[in-house]
Amino acid sequence: MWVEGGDIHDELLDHLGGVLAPPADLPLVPSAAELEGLAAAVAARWPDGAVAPDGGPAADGGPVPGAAPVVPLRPVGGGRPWRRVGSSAWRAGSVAAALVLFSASAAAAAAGVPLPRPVRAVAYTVGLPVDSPALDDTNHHIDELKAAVKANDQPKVVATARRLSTDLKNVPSDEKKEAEQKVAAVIPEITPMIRNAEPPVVLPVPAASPTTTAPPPPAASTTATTAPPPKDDGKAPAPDTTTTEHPKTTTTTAPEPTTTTTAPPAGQTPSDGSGTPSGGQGTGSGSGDPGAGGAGTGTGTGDQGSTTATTAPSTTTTTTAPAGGNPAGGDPGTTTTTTSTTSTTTTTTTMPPADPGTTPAT
Amino acid sequence: MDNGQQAETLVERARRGDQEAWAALYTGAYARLVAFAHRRLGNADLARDAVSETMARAVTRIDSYVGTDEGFAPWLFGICRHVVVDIQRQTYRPLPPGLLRAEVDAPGPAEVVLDSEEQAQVRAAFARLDPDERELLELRVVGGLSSAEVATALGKQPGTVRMAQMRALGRLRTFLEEASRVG
Repeated sequence: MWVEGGDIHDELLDHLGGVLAPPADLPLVPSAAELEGLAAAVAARWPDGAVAPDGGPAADGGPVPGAAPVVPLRPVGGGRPWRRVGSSAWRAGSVAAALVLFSASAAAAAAGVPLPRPVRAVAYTVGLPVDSPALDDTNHHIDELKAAVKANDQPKVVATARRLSTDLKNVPSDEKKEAEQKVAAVIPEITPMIRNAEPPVVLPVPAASPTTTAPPPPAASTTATTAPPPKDDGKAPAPDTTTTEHPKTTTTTAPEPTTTTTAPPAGQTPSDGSGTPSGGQGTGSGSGDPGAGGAGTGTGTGDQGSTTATTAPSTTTTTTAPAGGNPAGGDPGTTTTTTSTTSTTTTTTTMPPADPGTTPAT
Repeated sequence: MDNGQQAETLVERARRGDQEAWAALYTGAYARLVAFAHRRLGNADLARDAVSETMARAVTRIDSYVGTDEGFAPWLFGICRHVVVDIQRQTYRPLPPGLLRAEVDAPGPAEVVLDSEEQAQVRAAFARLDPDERELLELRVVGGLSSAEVATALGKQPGTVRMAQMRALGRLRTFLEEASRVG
């Protein structure tokens, strides 16, 4: 085994050392500049100078002697440094853009100038006094709707009315009343044009109270305007007339051309009613048991009674029979009363029998 | 207090940022480090730059130094090896086609004239060794490190270094014998 200093290889090593000896002009000690460089490196490594010698912690509460010195990663004594968001130019640009957006939106809102939808959305979100995008859409579609009505463009009226219905669903609650009022104002103009639309157009205008104190829906008055003048000859109304009663207005209306009349044969009591005069908004006809309840319809003639459910796309009127209106033996002279229960879109009326003795009530 | 204890004391002071301790350690190892670097780089200025960089890295990495029986010098030589390699990479020039590295490391005409015939044969035989073998022997004879210290500098086991050194010297002897027969 080779042992250092005890092998023949040591002679070779000595000889090799002599051959590979460095030149004599190589420096044996570092120069002053090299020592200064080292001092600078040490100073950078320990910026606070040498740590206290062994025997205890440093007087200033520094690192424990013998332990590895810790280089602070950030200046001591300062709080959390500012988080660098970006360059100063970027920050200035952002602030300027925000100011421009704010001032422009506010000015536009004050002047009533229409805002682009993205700007409006941002402005509404940040709380500027502008209408919500949904309300703006509603207003826009109302204008379109009026234009379509003027142009007598029935397909466009139907399509715009459908979009309007969607808009109303998206309007915030604080603006919904305003939007519904605007829509309600335009409904009378469009009702004749959307009545036959398939599928029916449903505009969620403000729902009135079920009580009769609610204002009449505009569609009801539309129906009234389309009704021919009632026969006032002292006789019973013709079979195709209906007496209805609204909370504030009582109108005798004639069925629209779309009226579905279900007239059972004489002497046959309507028996298919479930008490619900309408099958739903905008749906077709329904017939109810005239004496089945408040929602039903009835006439005083009983076996001669005929029930007509008239469905209008925008209004719902339920005709109720008076207490004596039992079709099975009711008083033939009992009047027919129609009570508006809702202001929605379906109208259900009851056609009185062709009984000369029946006098419509008002 | 012997040299080993003095060296460890200096190292402990150096750990705390003592400028004088660092200067003493620097001065004590400077000549051997420069000789080793000069041998590896073949240029005095590059050698001095390598030693300066070695000490700069030692300052920043002193926390990783674990005191051993071999002392502080092998740790510095271990750093210097990597610094030399880095400088060699930075100053690398591709060899002309057909020229071998051993031919480059062989003694030049001036050296042959100045050297005795025996020294010239040793240089030529040394140039035929593998690079790892040459580095090991340079650490031993130029750096003045013991086998154990070379092991520390190379990050190897002392027994491994001894065996490698024995093989390197055996090959060197073989090359010298071949040169003697040819001569």
